Amino acid sequence: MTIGHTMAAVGAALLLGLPLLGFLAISLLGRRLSQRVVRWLGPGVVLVAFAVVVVLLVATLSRPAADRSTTVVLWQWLQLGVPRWHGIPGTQGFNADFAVTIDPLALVMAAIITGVGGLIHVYSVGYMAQDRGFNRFFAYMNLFVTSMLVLVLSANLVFLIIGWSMVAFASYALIAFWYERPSAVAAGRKAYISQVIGDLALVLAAFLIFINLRGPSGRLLHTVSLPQIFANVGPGPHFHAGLGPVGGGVVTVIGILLFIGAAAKSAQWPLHTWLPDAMEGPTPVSALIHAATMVTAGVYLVVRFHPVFQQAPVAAAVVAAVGIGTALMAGVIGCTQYDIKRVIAYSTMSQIGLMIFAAGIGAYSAAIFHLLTHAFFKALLFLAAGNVIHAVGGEQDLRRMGGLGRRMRFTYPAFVVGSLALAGIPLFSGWFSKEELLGNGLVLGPATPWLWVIGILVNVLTSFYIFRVVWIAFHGAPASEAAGAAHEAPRVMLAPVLVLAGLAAVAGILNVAFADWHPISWFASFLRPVVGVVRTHPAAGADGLALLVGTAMSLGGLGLAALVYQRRAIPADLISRRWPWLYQLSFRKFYWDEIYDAALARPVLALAQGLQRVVEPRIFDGAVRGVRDAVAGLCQDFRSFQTGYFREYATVFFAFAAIGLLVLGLHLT
Amino acid sequence: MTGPLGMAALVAAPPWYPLHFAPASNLVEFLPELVVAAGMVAVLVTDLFVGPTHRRRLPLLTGLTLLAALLIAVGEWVGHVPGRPVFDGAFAADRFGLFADFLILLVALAVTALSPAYLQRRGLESGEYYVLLLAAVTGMMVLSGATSLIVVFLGIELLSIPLYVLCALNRDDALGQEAAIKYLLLGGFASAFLVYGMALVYGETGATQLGRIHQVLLHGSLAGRTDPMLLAGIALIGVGLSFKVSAAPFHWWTPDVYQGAPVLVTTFMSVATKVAAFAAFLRIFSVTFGTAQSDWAVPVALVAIASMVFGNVVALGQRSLKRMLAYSGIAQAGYVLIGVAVGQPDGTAASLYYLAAYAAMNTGAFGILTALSGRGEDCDDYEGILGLARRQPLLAALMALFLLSLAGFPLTAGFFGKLFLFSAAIHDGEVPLAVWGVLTSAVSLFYYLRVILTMFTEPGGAGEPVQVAGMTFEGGAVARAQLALVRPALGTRALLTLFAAATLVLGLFPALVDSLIQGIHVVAG
Repeated sequence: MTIGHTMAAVGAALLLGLPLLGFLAISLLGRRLSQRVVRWLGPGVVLVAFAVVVVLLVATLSRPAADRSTTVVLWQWLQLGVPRWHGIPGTQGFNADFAVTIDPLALVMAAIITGVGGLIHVYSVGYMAQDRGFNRFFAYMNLFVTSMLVLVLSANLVFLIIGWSMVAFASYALIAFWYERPSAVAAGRKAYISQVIGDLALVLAAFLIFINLRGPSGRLLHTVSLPQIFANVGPGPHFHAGLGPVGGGVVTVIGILLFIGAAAKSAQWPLHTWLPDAMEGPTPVSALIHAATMVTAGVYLVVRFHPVFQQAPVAAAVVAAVGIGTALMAGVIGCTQYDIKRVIAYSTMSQIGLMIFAAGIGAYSAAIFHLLTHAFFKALLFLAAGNVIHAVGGEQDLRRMGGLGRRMRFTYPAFVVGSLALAGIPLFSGWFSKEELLGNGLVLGPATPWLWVIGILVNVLTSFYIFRVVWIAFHGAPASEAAGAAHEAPRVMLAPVLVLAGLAAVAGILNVAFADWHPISWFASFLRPVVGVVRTHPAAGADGLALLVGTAMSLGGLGLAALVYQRRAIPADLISRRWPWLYQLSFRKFYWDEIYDAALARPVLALAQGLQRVVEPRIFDGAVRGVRDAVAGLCQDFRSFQTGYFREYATVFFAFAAIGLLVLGLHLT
Repeated sequence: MTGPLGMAALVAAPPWYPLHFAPASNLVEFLPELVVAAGMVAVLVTDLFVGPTHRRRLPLLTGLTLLAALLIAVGEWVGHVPGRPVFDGAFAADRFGLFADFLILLVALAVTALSPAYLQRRGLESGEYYVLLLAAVTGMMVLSGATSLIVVFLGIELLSIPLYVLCALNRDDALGQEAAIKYLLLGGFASAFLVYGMALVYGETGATQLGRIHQVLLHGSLAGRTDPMLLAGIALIGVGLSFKVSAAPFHWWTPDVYQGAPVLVTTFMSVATKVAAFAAFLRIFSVTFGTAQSDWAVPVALVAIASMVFGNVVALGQRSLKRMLAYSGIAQAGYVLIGVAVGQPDGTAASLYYLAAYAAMNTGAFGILTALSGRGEDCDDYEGILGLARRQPLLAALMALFLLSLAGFPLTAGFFGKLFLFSAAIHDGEVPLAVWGVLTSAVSLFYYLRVILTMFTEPGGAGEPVQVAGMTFEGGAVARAQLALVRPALGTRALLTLFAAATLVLGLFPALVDSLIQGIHVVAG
């Protein structure tokens, strides 16, 4: 079985078409479709799409490594290249074909989106069973999956941006899903505004690429085809080839703009504040969008555009620094939060910071591998947290839980597996991915090894805050009536959790490398055709050191959490008493919301109110009214010609013909 | 000498023999026209000899005739790759003419399908209706392939005279009678200009065949010279054709006639006539007079701008749906004229694409009005469609699609129609045309969206006036207008859905039709 053009086209069409079909069917039929049907249809389309991904994966694996990328045009839409319509993808000119690329990177992403996404859909059947908006929920979820697949499969900048924005919309709709709650609507709005900032940056980056990219001979290409962009982005024989010299102004600006887009999607500083608020959405949404897929789209974008970042070392350094900085900041915040979902949300922000860091230093396959394992264990943690919230009647405050471990015989161990994987405890999947990532951080990138040191600190924080949750929520005595009466979740919600727990435990095996026999791990060699391999011969000493220190730090964090929350050897309020400012800094989330409110929201609002009072009525309304009156007046004037009398029509007709001839005569003489 | 949208070589004219007979085999190329003409005679004769109960078969006969012509035209499309002149250069057997024929026949088929129910409701059933329809179709098809000034004139008259009569179909309607007489008088007036222009061109070039005129302009005594008589001739022909495509400032008849004629006739007239007249316009100006383009491009561009501005601006003030669509049609003619002004080959291709889009969306929009029109009068008031979305969601959705397409929204036919025209204008260096096109499109949004807004606004309770985009609706008038509307039958709704599908296909997969157009060769004669 080989992956030819036909197979890629059919596969991609099915992959995109199935969730789209689900969305259209559920949204167009609406209430006429019973919940019983939607229960099968919603998850069904995503799971079948996952089967398609598996087939495509097998087909791709059966090809030689050099031949694993297929680009096909699914839909010829807007072609303004000259001459039009000769059917060759990526020809010169603005040809916004919907072309898709089936390559290892796209397939890994598609597998996460449909695989983890499918499990979350199944889980939602139980979680949302009592909700009035059951059908609406699955319509949005299917739309989200479609959008995300458009994003990762697209081989064209225009459609990449379309997918990018559709994802933002679907996320907005799902965060604000419970639209009766003002806080949910506000959270949706906040998320959407952040996304739009990112969209704008991405559009600008695309535009700069479009107007600046030159072929090897120095000719402007004016292309939006991704394969063509990546093939030409590097310097060529001509002085002006590609996007100019390495580290040039244009390519650096493009890199920064791309990263702003990525930062908005991936909740990286300074566009990170929407993610915790997004927890207002139903928990499956948090698992699908704000853990496994959408927030990792920024990582995907940086990895996909690595040829651009390789030309722009400054932009790449910014990516790495912002990533690791966000990882640290979110880790610190995560240690003091009491809302179970918010702790996991900050943990997501922190872990994605690590992935962004890896993508910034050029460890692309490590970034994507951590993305994969993170999708497993983070979706697991969210779903397990969802079970907990479900069990205690919607309560999300850790302080009102406690002792749930005894009542939730399956959820508890699953949550612990997720925590172990997240903390990077040896042999769990997170250990493989995070240690590879940090090992690369020790030897690659700017400011080595200082960024790595921060990464190691993040390790401590990560295992501390997640085991803090484990001990507070699942151990000790129930802190509320609801916690005392908690019950295990129904089977439809347990099954996905247990599958994810299995994956979170063992997925690391994909990345095992053996020093001599097979120095590059299976996963890295799979991604190699797309992203290359940064280090073909890892420095054994440095890697070993990184591994040892990193693992020790993770275990240390776990131990610390045990000392504080289980043994109670260290009082939990030690920091808040000794260094209250530090505690407040963390508890108040570094005051970013307040800073934005004071520095951006209030001044902009004040400005807007001022403009509304003064400028709007006098200038803008005046101008609009002026245009309207002018056009309306013109309309009245013109209408007055239309008298209805034949004699006048004939006269005017004749007059215009005569004027025309007269002008012609004058023109000739 | 053929290339993409280029010209076929001229057939040598007989050197001395005064009477010459073209070989009968040329008739094969004329088969679609012959079939429609024969169908017309058949309908006429059948109508004379059958009783009223069998009259119901007439639309079927008409439809079959049109279908047969369509199938033959498809066959001929496959046959003529480069195209060739026939009848000594008086008629062209080329894909350009056939493309126009397709659009004309498809629109005529749709109109025939809508006819029985509409005519019955309005009490206008008559056999001559179908005869006149087929006669007009014959004229349009003759015009789209005409490559001789005589045949052009013949085609124009053959299509116009039946239309004059069709406008007056409702003999009890004073407005319709007035429209018909205005159309007749102004049409005769315009024909005079046209014939005068033809005479001048013949006088200067000594030829009636477009191909020979082209040769004279290219290689003959007039090559490279600006000849005043010839220019005057071109100008007068332009005036005559501008009248037929209802371009400003020669459009005066359009709103009155579109409003006065039964809406079904308007549907046919507004689309099919325009397609045929533009086929002649493109062939005569872009190809035959192509060498003199520098002389006529600016006047044509001015007419295009005048049409876009006038049509779109005046449409804003209309309270009659038919008049609004009439002014919209004037504006649409202005857009197609951009392609004429740009010339071969990009402008012609863009114009053809726009005509295809126009055929889909404008037939759809008028078709909706036809389908809604009830016993008393045509669906013409905004009152009637207030809240249509609630009562007839499908029709409201389809109408919204057609109007969005007319406005040029992406994913609809109109978007690519405008995009190709504007980009052809920009590539050709005629940036002002594109700028005027975009600005007037923005203006047009108001009156298209106003209809959509009206359809999607709930009518208020009794005695409560409703405000929609500057229009006030009184409860009583609303109730009266809505009572007059009907719920169309399943077949009608399916037909309109097909046109909506065509509008979407032209907007989603432009390559399907544009690749056909890119393969068209225009024969000059």
